[in-house]
Formats: sequence, C-alpha cells, structure tokens
Amino acid sequence: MLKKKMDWVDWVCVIALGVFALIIMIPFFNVVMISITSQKDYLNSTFLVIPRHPTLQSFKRLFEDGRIWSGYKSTLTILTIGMPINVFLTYCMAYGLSRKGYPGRKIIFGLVLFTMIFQGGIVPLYLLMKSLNLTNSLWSVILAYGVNTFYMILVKNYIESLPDSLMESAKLDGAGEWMILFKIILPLSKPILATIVLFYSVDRWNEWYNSMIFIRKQNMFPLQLVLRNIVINSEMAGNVTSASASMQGSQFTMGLKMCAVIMTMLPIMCVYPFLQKHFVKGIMVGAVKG
Amino acid sequence: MKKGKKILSGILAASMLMTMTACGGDDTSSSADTSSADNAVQAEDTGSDAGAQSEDTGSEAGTQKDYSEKITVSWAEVIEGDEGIDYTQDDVYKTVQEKFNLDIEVTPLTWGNWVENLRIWINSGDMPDVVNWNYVHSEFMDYVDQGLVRKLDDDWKERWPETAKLYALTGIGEELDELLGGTYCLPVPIYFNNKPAETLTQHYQTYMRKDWIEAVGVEVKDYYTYDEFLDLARKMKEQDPGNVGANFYPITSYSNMLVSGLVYQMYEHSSPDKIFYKGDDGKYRWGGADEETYEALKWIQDAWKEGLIHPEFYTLNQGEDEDMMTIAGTSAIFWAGGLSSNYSMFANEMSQNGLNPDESLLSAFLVDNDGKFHGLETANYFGALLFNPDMDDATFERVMDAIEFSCTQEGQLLMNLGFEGVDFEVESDGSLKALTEEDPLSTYPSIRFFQTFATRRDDFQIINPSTPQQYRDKQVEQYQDKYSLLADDTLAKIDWDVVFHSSNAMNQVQFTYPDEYSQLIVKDGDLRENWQNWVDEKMSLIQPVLDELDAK
Amino acid sequence: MTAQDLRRGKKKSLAENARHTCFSVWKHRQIYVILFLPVLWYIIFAYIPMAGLQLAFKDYKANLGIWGSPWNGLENYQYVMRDPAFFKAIGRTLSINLLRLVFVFPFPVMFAIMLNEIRFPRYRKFLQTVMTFPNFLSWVIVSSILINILSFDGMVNGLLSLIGLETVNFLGSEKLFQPLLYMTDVWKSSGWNTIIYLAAITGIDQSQYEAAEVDGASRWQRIVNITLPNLLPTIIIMFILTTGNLMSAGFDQIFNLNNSAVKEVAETLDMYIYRITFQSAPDFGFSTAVSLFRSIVNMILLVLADRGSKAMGGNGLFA
Repeated sequence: MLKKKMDWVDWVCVIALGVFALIIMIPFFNVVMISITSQKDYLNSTFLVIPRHPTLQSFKRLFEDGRIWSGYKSTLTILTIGMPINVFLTYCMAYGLSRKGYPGRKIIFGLVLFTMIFQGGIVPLYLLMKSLNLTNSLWSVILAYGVNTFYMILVKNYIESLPDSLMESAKLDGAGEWMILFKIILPLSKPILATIVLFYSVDRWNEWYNSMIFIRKQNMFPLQLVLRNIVINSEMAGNVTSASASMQGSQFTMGLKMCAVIMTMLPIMCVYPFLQKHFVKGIMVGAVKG
Repeated sequence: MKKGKKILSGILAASMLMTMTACGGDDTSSSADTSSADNAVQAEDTGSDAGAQSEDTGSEAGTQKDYSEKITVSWAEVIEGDEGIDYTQDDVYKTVQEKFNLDIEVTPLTWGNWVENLRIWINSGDMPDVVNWNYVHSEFMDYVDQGLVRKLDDDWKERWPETAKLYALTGIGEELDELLGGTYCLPVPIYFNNKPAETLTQHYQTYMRKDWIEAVGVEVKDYYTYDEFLDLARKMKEQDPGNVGANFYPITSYSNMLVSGLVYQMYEHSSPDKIFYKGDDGKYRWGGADEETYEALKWIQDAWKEGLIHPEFYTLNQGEDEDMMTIAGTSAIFWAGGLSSNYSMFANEMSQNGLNPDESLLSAFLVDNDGKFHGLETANYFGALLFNPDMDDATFERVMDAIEFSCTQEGQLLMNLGFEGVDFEVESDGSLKALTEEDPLSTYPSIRFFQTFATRRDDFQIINPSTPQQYRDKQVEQYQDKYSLLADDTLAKIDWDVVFHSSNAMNQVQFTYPDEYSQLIVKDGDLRENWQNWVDEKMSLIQPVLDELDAK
Repeated sequence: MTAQDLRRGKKKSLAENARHTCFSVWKHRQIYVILFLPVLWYIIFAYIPMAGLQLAFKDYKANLGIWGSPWNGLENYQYVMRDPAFFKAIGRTLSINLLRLVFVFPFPVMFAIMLNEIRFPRYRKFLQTVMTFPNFLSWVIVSSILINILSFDGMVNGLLSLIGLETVNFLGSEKLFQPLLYMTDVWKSSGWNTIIYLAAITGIDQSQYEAAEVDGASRWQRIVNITLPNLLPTIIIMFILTTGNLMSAGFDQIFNLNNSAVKEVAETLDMYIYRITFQSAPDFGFSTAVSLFRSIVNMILLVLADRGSKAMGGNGLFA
C-alpha cells in the first residue's frame, strides 16, 4: 500500500487535514493549560497560556464539589438505559419505513417528518410528563428523547441502499419479515448502527435542557447540567436592587470551568477510540485499495 | 345531645394530649399541649355542631404550634455558590428542622435558570410548595388571576406579626394589598432592622486603586464628579502608575455594570427601572429618547475611544473585571455591588496578592458636575415568595411559622451566624462579636439557604461581625452620602402606576437595556445618528405603552 | 347496465378495496409489529404535546390548560407584526443560514473524502479522532476559549502584531460576527459530521474502484467519478434536511457567542423567540405564535428543497 509514490492528492490531504487538526489542538492545549494555571498567571498571560506555577487547585475545588460525581452517575444511568432505547426505536422505525408496499407507510412517514418541523414546545411536554408522573425521575429525560428523526432517516436510507436482490432471494426462500431483519439486514447494518450508537451516546452525554426543566433534585442532575451550573452560575447579570443578589464568590472561574470541561470530556474521549474502531474497520474495508 | 358533644370534645382533647406528649419533649410542644387543651375546652363551650367543632379544634391547634405531625415542604430558591452541598446535615438546619418539625427539600436554582425554570413550573401548575421568585408584575397578575398562587388568609398579618412588619417595609406589599384586595406573595425585603438611609437608591459603587489615585496626584474622596472622574482616568492612562504597559485601560467593567455605573448613573431615566416616567407636562415619556441619555452614551463612547475604558468590555463576564484589578493588577476601576461582604472580598483578594487593601482599595461613587447625586429610588424588595395553592393549610402554617421565625432577631442570628456562645456573642452595647475565625458559611452550609429564606442578607451584612467593621460602616455611609447628595430633581421616584402597569404592549418593551446601550456605544459611525435610528425603531413599540399610561 | 347496477359495481369495488387493504395489512402484520413501539413513542411524546401549537391562537391560562384556554384569534400575530425586530430577525436568520449552507455545509464532505484518501492508517485514525473532539465541547466552553484567543491581546492578534500587521477587533465587530459563526461551526462540527459521509463511503461497492483502476483512472478521477456520485444521495438528504431547518439552526452557538456589542446582528428568529419567552414578560401564546410561524416557513423550505432535488433527478426525502 505504501509502495506507491505520494501523488499530489496525498500531499493535499495530508497537509490540509494536518493543519486543520493543529487548529483544533491549540485551543485544547489552552484548555489543559488553563486548568493547571493559577488565576494570577492566567490573568497576566497573553499569547499562549503557560503555567509558570502549575497548580491542581482548580481540580481540587472541582472534586470537593460533590456534584460532579452524582453528575457522572446520572449521566451514566441515562446513557445506559436511554441509548439502547434510542437505537432500538430508531432502527425499528427505519426498518419498517424502508420496507415498501404496505398500507399506511406514506402516512406514517409523513407524520414522522412532520414532527421534525413542528414541536409543541416545552410547556406541553412538561404537562405530559407531569400527567405521566415522570417529573423528577430520570425516566422523563430518557423518554423525552426517543427517536431522532434525522438519524432515523439516515438509517432508513442506509437500509434502502442495500442491494434489493438479497431480500428478494430471501423472500423466494420463504423467509418472513423477522428472518429478513435478523438474518440479512441487521448483520449488514453494523456501520450505520455504530454510527447512531455513537450519535445517541454523544447526545445523551451532552444533554442538559430537559433535565434542567424536569428534574429538581440536585443529586439527579446529569453531568452537563452540573457543568452548566458551574460555568453559568458565575455569569449572572448584576442586579440593581439587592447588592447581595449580585454577589459572587471569589474563585478562579476560568480554571474551574476548564477543569469541568476536561472532566466531562475525558470519559467520552477515552471511549471514543473503541467505538471508532467499528467504523474505522468499515472504512478500512471500503477504502480505496492503493 | 349536649352531653354527646361534651364527651366528643373531651375525647378529642384527650387524644390531642396523647399525641402531643407522645412526641413532645421540648418546650414548644409542651406549651402547645396546654394551649390546645385550653382551646378544646373553649371550643366545647362555644361549639354548635359536633362535626364543625372537631374541624375547628384541629385548625386552632395548628395555629397554636402543634408540631406533632412531621411536615415536608419543597422549596426552590437561588443559592449563591451552591456547590452540591447537602443542606440538611449541619446544626443550623437541624435546629430549624426540630423547632418546627419541618423537613425542607431544597431545590437550588442558579441565577442563570431561575426565571426559566420557575416560569415553566408555575405555568404548568406544578410549582414547589414555596418558591423565591423573580418578581415580574404582569406575570404576577396573571398568576393571581388564574389562581396559580396561594392567597394568604386575610388574618395573616395578625397571626405572623413579624413577617407582616417586614412586609410593610418592602413598600410594594401594601400597594399590592390595595390593588388586589389581599396578599398573594411575600416580597423579600432587602433592609429591615438596619436600613441605612431613609430613601434607598442604587447600591453599586466604583471600586478603585487608591494608591494609583494618589500616585497620579488626585485627591482620595468618597465621591467624584464626572469631570474629576474623567480627569482621574485620563491621568492614570497617561502616567500608568502600575507600569502595566500599553494594554492598560483604567476603567474595566463588564457591560452590565459599566452601563449601570455610568449611563444609569448620569441619567436616572435611562435605567429600565425608571425609563417610563411622567414628564413636567403630566404626560408619560420614555427616557431612552431623552437628550440626556444620548449625552451619557456620548460621554462613555468618548472615554472608550480615548482608551480609558477596556476596548472589549462587552466580552467580559461578571467577576473577570474585578479579578483584573484585585488579582492581576492590570486595571484600576470597576463597578460592583456596594455591600460590605463585597468590599471585604475584594480586600482579601488584594492582600493575598501582595497589596495592602487599606492603602490600595477605595470604594466611591459618582455625582454630577454640580455635586448632585442622581438616584434611582429603589423599592425595598428583591424577588418574592410565592406559595403553591395546593399546599394544605397545615403545611402552609408551618412554613409561615418558620418564616416568622426567620424575621425575628433570634432567627436572623441563627440563620446568618449560627449559635450564640459558640459562634458569636452579643456585647453589652448590643453589637455582635464573632467567636471564631471560621466563616459561618463553611461551618454551616445551610446558612447559604437560610440567609435568603424570606429576607435578603443585605440587612444582616451591616451587623455581621464576620465582616470587618470598617467595611460595614462603608456600606451604611455610602447609602447616607448618596441620600444627602440627592436633589429634588435628581431622584427618580418609584411610580407605582408604571410598576403596576401590565399589558401585552408593556411586555413587548422589556428590552435588555445594558445590551442596547453597549451596542450603541460600540457601534461604528456617528453616535447621534445611530441613537436616533435606535429611538425611531423602538418608538413603534414604545408609543402604545405611553398611550396606555397616559390613558390611566 | 342500469344505474343501479353501476352503483352496485362501485360498491362492490369499494368493498373489494377494503378487503384488499385488510388482506394487505394482515400480510404485512409483522412490519406493523416492528413499527408499533416507535410509532407509539411518536404518538405520546411528539403528537400529544403538539396540542400546544394551538396556543398560537390562544391566550394561555395555566389553570384552564391548553385545551381550555380562550381563543383570541390572530391577536398574538397582531403583536408580533408590530415588532420591527421580528422582521429583521427573519431576514437575518435566512441570510445567516443560507451562507452557512455555502460556507459550512461542503466541509464535512470534503473532509470525509480527504480522510478516505489518506493512506496511512495511523495518521488517518489520529486525524479522525482529533477532528471529532471539538464536538464534545459545549458552545459555552467554545465561546470562552474563543474570547481567550481572539481578544485584542489574545493569541491571534499577538501573532498579527508580531508579523507587523494591524490587529483586528474580532469580537465586537458587527461585520465579522457572521464569518466568525461559520468558522467556529466548521471548527466544531465539521469533523463530527464527516462520520455520516464516511459511513456512506463504506457502503460503496469496491468493484467499482477495482474496475476503474483497471481502466487506468487517476485518483482524482476516481474521486470525481466514483466516490462523489456514490455520496450524492447522502449529500442530498443532508442538504434537504438542512434546508428544512433554515429558520432555526444554530441557536446554541449564537446564544453563547454573541455579546452586547453584536447583539443586533446576532438576533436570529430563535434568539428573538428566546428573548420574548424568557427575558421579557412571559406570554406562551405569543412565543408559540412566532414558533409556529417559523415551523411553517421551515416546512415550505423543506418541501421546496425536496421538489428541487427531485426535479434535478435526485431521490428526494419522500421517496
């Protein structure tokens, strides 16, 4: 594979993407540096942040704050229950819609597309959760996000792009819908499944808005909401009437922020390469054989 | 028949006694014993129908501090610097819990989400039992109309007199009673026992580098005129007493505070609080269109272009401006709340970074070039407690008892400092003395919750012994100085007609003025032209409001 | 034939149709079983809350509920129409998102193809990993990093003045705000979005490439003649879906990147809705009215894009 000489396509790709990767890494480098810098060093730095007196003070403060641990717990719960539900529902829907020739297909697809564009808003959703007795339970967060229609369409398209001949011959052999699904389509869907598993995992990991509205117990807040509270809490608008309401504790918010960023990113960064393997494998198979 | 009634109430009283002794033990419940027994006897004398009588006795006993039944209440409020702390573990919480046999489930909110969350919860009819809510009048009227918030019983002022006393001090309370014919919320008072001046005006102060002021040869004062202030900033910029370098911008404040500290300060009717006001001709006007607003904006823009104000002040977040002066030492002037605990926090930061705050920190304010202070009369409340209408009476009464306690001297001490003899003592002259070096906030985390339980903590700050005396004096002085420098025509008074005006048109003109003004200051081109365009554009929404106000 | 006979015939065919449908339903019963749970989810969690849309024509009273609140006709819209900021927001949203389509949309496609062309597996894996990372950062964080880097004394301006160029006011300039949006968007999400295209590339039939190689096609020709045409269906779907979102994309980004100096050029329709819902006094009817308007425009755009792609020979969404 490497025997061939590098041609201009190679050079363009290698250099352009390399530069892009560099542009991405510099800010990340900054994040890490700020997290171990003292506030004074940070404020006096221009150009690049270089910690003259590296300190783990910000991390210490973050860990003393118990919220980050309960945040991990909630987020993991939401992820491990919610993501499989997402993938299951999405795949079933996509498979069903990729099949043709049954009554109601067009209507169902139309109605599904409709939800992409029209939403009722947060108050009706809250009222629904309340009537289902789900508020203040992680189930509200899990169920509020079921099928992402956008991902569903991706999966549906993928299934449709699979060669028809496979299904037809299976049908001739007398295979039922279940057989076709489990024996033929599902095994071929691995790359797209890996993709939506990743997409849903990241969505679940980054989710905060629904939990902010539906959940009131602090020890049930997911990680991103905790992060947000840490970051935004220090950015409240000044208040005109009560001086005490506009007061804010003395702390290195920037350092704390960056530590929180690292702590929320780290797990997903560790897991990512393993998931990535799946479609990297797919890509390898599909890649141009030089 | 009569005999039957007697027997019934006898049994009632006896059973009441039983339950009470069963869980009693401390003073309150045993005193409740006797009084409820008395009650039962009274009820026996005057009672008419057995069924109604038993109900009567029940509720009467409730007001007579029958805390035998454990009650849980959910409570949502913004808690400063909440760090995932369990509020239910320390002794202050436990004392309150035991005293009222009341479990409080705290839902901590942040300044970033309290408006959004409470709005959705209340509008879905699913509010926590008690919420400490950002008071917005039109919203409040809506809630009252729809019965989404609880009406306090008509006799509440007699039953909880301390709370009623503070309620009267908020200013808005009685106005609301008159408007609505009843009480539907408890505005949270800012000052009550230690009100620093007769009329409260804006609290924010200019914090400055005192040593640098001296270094550039300007007199250190408690207040400066605009010209003096400009001159001071200019000299600092030229002489750079701190050797900061080319990137030294003396005035560094984030846009919200810069606008509050300069625009609202220079022209009181540019402030969203007082932007609708009755002109001399008796007609309502909108302050944004007044020439004075333009002049204030022009003043700031000129200073900004001259390099006296941080070039990108609009990107700063709250706290960053302060850090640049107190920690990094790269700026000289910023605005922040005029509270003793703020002052002492800045002083601490400075001393941790090798500066002596006595020599290098000054808290001052601005007056106009005639030496008059332009004040915004401030109503004495921030936010209001709302109660869930579905809460049962017993819970509500228990909550009110706890609120009543927080309004007493005893409650204030406990909920701000901890325990007498352990954390503080009362000196012979009535002042307080801290007994430990430890910050009560770290000893008793629940103080963070309790200090804004039903009152703001601005008031207690003035007597709080854990803050140095000189800073507390400063907090009082600045209010008094501001008050004494007010002239008749430089004080924008509260106009309840405007505050209580609610309509769709009014809802539509709730602009974020700090952003609007900052943008005008920074915008390219001629300021007068930009400002005029801005006024013209806003007028289509403003005019209907002015018409409505005039029609009132 | 008499008229009666005709009618009978029609009746019969109707009945036959019904029977035929029933039969067809029964024949495909397994599909319905598969569809049951997701459809149930859509009904409960998407369609029941959709009743809230009627608030656009109602005066919401929480005590009466969504259904019980009184109708107020077009009153909400009358208030919306009075606000010049509303119309400005529409124009701004469209222009921002159309330019986003031009400047941001092609990047993931390009990156995916380039990644696919890179022949060093380790380097490719490294690049892919790095490029997807920014997506894990929330906009709040991206915004504070950006301020750190682009401020007047930040890294970029430091570099500019080092090589003797004039420094640029990146953060407070109304002109630069939109380009900044596109750049950060590319920075943050284009690496992530390559995943979709890479997944599509994996589906390309290898024999096509082999045949092309035999024919002596250069790599560039193979990209243009095989990879791109095979990616086209995915690109079109993504394009249609993006178009259907033209009125609403990018709230989180703009919400976090804007500051008071550029507030005006940053007020898109979403920002406007947020402002009227949560910053000024609340009126859920009013904000629902604006949201509904936005949805309708989105729907029109989606249908147009779909028709357009079909007219150009594409598959369209409703295939």
